[in-house]
Amino acid sequence: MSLLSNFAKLVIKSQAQFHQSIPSCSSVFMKRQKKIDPEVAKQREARRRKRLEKEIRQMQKHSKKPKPVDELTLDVKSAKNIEERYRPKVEVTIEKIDERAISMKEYTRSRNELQRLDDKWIAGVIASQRKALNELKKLDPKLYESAIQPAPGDLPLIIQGPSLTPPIKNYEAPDGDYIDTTRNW
Amino acid sequence: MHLSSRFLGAQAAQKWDIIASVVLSRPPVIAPKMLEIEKRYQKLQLEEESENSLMNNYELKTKQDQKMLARREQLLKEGKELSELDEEIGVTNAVREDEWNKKAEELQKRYNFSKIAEETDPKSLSRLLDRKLVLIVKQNFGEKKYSSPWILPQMKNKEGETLRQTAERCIGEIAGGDLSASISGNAPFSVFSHKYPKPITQKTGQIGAKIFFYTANLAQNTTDFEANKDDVADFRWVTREEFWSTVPGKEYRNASKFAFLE
Repeated sequence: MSLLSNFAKLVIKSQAQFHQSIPSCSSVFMKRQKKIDPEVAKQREARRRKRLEKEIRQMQKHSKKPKPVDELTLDVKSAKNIEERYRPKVEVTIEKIDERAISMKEYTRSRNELQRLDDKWIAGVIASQRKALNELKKLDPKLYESAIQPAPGDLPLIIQGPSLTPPIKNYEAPDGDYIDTTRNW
Repeated sequence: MHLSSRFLGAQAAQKWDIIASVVLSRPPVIAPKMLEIEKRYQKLQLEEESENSLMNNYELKTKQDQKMLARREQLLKEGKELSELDEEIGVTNAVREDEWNKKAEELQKRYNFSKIAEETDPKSLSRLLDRKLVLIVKQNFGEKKYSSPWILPQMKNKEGETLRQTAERCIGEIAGGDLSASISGNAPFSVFSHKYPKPITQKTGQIGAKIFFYTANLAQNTTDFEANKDDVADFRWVTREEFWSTVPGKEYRNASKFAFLE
């Protein structure tokens, strides 16, 4: 091997191995990175993982819990003396049972009749409206177009009552504050 | 084909007057009385329900009160000290009920809930509170102020106006003062064709009028209604039966019958 070739190899190698650290790493303004013991790092990692897992579990637990329905929950206070609350058993006579059954049948029949009348009315009024719209279409297509547009302003329709007694004239409601006791969830 | 049908349409529009009519109603203010069937069913159901129910705190207190009072009676007979027991009894439910009854009586006297003043004036809105009432009018038409028979208030459609707007204008014009009422829907629910007598047809070239009906409800708690005296000669608030016996023309009544759902 000639000396020259050796020298050339050295030059190339030294160039390839020449290394300069990034200047910013050794900046005086940067905090020096502490060397952490890998054991400690592992522990920390494990701890962090555990904590996250716990949080996720908590969140899942709460997310699955539905709002309580007051009517369905047991009133503990009243359930304590439930034995006292039972009424003395009433012997229901056969006549009474019959009367109740007959009355219920009559009632359901009357509701059914009302439902039938309602259905009849709906069918009738739809047919009547269709006829009116057809007439209108023949007379004036423009008016027809405006008539078949939806009327979003009419909805929602909120109707209160009717009550059992009429409103009292000149009634002055007593003063008071409105307190909303609805619970938030 | 297309052209001819459009031509026919234009011709038809010329020959018929388009009129919007409003069935303005006052919904029932109080619930109607229960039917015999309903009353009986309610009574029996309540009975059954109370049989199967548990006692509430108030009833338990009443029971407790009775026991305590019996003991007091006994102690009184034996001539023993009562003050301690009296303290324990406190206010009994019987005493409370007396108080409540007194208060209820006072209110009853002041406001007279049970006695609903019978109003007989057909112009009044406080007549027949448990029924649906509908406004019918004797409307003035034309320059001669020809007064119509009893009809539902109506108005001729103006150029460039939708039918619903005509109906709204109709309500506005027959009412004397401010009136808040809401029309339901853009589409009329029924139509009635009315042919003019021959002399009018010859004079105006119009065969007759097509009346399109809309329904409208008075705003809740409307207590007064005044008609516009220029346009309305007379007015009435009527029930379905009264409508049937007052308004002439069977076809006309039939066309508007669907507005009378109760």
